[in-house]
Amino acid sequence: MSRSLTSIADLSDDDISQLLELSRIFLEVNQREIPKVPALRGKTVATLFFENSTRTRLSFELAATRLSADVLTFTLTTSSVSKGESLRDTAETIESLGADLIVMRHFSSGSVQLVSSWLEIPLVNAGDGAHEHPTQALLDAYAIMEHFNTGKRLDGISVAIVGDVLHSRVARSNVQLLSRLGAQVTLVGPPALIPLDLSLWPARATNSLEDVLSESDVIYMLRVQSERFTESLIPSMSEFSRLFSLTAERLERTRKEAVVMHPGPIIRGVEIAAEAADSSRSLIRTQVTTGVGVRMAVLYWLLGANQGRLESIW
Amino acid sequence: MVARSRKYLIRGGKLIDSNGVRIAELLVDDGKIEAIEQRIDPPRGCVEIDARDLVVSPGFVDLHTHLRQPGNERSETILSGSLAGVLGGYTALLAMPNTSPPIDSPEVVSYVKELSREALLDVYFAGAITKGRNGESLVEMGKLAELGIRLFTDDGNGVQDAQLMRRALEYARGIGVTLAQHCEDLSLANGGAVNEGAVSSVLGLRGIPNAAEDVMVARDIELVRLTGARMHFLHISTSRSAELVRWAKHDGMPITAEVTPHHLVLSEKNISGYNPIFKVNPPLRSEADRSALWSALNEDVFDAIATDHAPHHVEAKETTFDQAAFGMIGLQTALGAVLGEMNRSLSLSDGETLVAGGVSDEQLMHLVGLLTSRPARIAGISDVHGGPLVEGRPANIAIFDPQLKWRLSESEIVSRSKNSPYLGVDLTGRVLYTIVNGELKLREGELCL
Repeated sequence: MSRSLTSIADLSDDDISQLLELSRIFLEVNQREIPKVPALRGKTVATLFFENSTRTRLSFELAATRLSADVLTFTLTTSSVSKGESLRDTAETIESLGADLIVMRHFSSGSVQLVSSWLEIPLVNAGDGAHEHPTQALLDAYAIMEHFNTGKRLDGISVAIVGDVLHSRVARSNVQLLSRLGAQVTLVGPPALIPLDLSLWPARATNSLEDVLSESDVIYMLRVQSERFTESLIPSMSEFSRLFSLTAERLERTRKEAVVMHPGPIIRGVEIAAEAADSSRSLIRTQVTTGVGVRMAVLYWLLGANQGRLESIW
Repeated sequence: MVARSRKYLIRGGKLIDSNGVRIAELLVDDGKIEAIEQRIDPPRGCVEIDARDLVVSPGFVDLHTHLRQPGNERSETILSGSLAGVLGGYTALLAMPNTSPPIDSPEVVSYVKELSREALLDVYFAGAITKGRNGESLVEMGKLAELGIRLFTDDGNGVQDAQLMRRALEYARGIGVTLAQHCEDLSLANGGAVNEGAVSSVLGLRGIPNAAEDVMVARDIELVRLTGARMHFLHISTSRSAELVRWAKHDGMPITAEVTPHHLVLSEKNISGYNPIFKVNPPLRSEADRSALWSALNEDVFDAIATDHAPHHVEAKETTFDQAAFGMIGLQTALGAVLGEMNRSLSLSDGETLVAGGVSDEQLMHLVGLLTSRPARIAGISDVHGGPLVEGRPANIAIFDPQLKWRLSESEIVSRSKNSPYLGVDLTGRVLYTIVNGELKLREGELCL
């Protein structure tokens, strides 16, 4: 079993700073006229997605391509699962095909960790249920550091994560990573969308967006994952929007230097207004761009080629 | 069978049952306890069992066993479950009716009773409360009672409809049987996989709040108040439910309750690695709940320790936590897990020196009661099982070493399923001999097949 990235908790402080440094290098590569390096030539990266996702899969596949790896794409809908093949058999088949690394997304929390315990090759968690999405947190941390020019830390930065925290793997990874880097994280949402017991979370929580508007450097909006609702958690989207949407009017009441972030896909008019998403203070598109470089860093780091001798990448 | 019956002289052991603790010798002959005296001369042809430093108790009675037959013989059979029971010191098991088909008709009762004749111990059956365990209409309890069924439960499900439960309790009172409830309000459980709390919140797993259990315990206590029927609460797992049972008993209501070894020994902390072996219903709760269960146990809120032995074949567990089956096996390890935990907490509370000799005789007597006479009463089988150890009673006996430290390895598991949470864990206390109706079924820790 090689090293995998299933959770932010898998990473030491050193790992985090190495990955962020590698990300910087690969983002520079992406600025070149020919944004491609032979770092992973001959390696095969498989993307194994049990849940629909185009953005994240494309970002990983582009990252692998720019490192000159070959890419195998598996998209498994629930129908293929219902044929009866077990998760273990699916994963072992991909390993036997010769993949060197699997990027996996699955609807069950803990699934990537489980699969990594069965395989020899490394896995990257591209989102497991409501558990984690560690590369999203790495790219978010990178984007915040770059924007505020805070070096390798986020000390003094206050981040409000707003909306459907309950179902959010992005929130679970970000709370861990951002707080480890020194940021102060506040979760904002209606009680039913905030986990009941936050005693193990390095974050505080409030039910009022108004409380945090004027004190946050980053307003991080989450999509309401209503497809995961099995019950009435909020009365309506329109009422949710009234209380928790980042509207133009609310954006006005944030700090002048505050930025708006969102992991995508954004639902305009629900959790975020067009005026906020498209404003000059929005980092949403920067996040997407940063994601490719960060995922290049993660793939390169896990596949271990010449680790520590970065000059040999190209 | 009678031909295999022999005479056994159990010498030097400490006899513990509902009558107390004493050192005495015990002679088994022709299926019965023939004599109990300070000193018995070995009769001709008897097998002597050296029980020095061992405890001789009535055979254990498990109120809560899933034997999976009929319908899921890959996971367990009545025979394989009975082997596990004998290794755990059990002489009687009460098999739950959530089989396929469920035990809800005289035909199925007759069928499983026939199957149980091959078991190494006495298997009794609980009947379902509602047909098909669907929670919609009552089972013909009277007909099943005529076939010897004494306890009815939809275990695996709680009866959700309060009015139906009221009618079930009234009907049960009329024919003199006991209902047992799996207390879980399904709307509050909300498809959860794990305790709703600090751990579920970090792991991103859907949680089952304590309230899912507590509201049904509270509801049923009031229904017992209304109907006057007897009621047994299965696998109580929360602090609040234990408190509710304590109050109901204080009011003199005809209520009994059980707790499982795993809710006494394990907690949600064990879930941190998403290992589905620890997925069980009710879920492993917080450390605060676990500690409250011990307090309740020590204050006699519980009438029985019951295993909720729930075998699942490997594929049912080798999957993601949310999709894995609920349940863990427990017959072979019940004594070792509970005594292990009692010894651990003794050594924790007495940091300077380990208490010599481990748990006291008083504690052992209490524990033996929870494993023998008290569950036998609830199951309605006190005439045969649960002791006391007195002359003329059927010889259902367990002999165990209360201090033996051991670890369970997968190869020692005789259940068809290996889903034990105790693999590689230090256990204390092991059953070495089990005598079922006068026949030696376990000898020096080995099954006599």
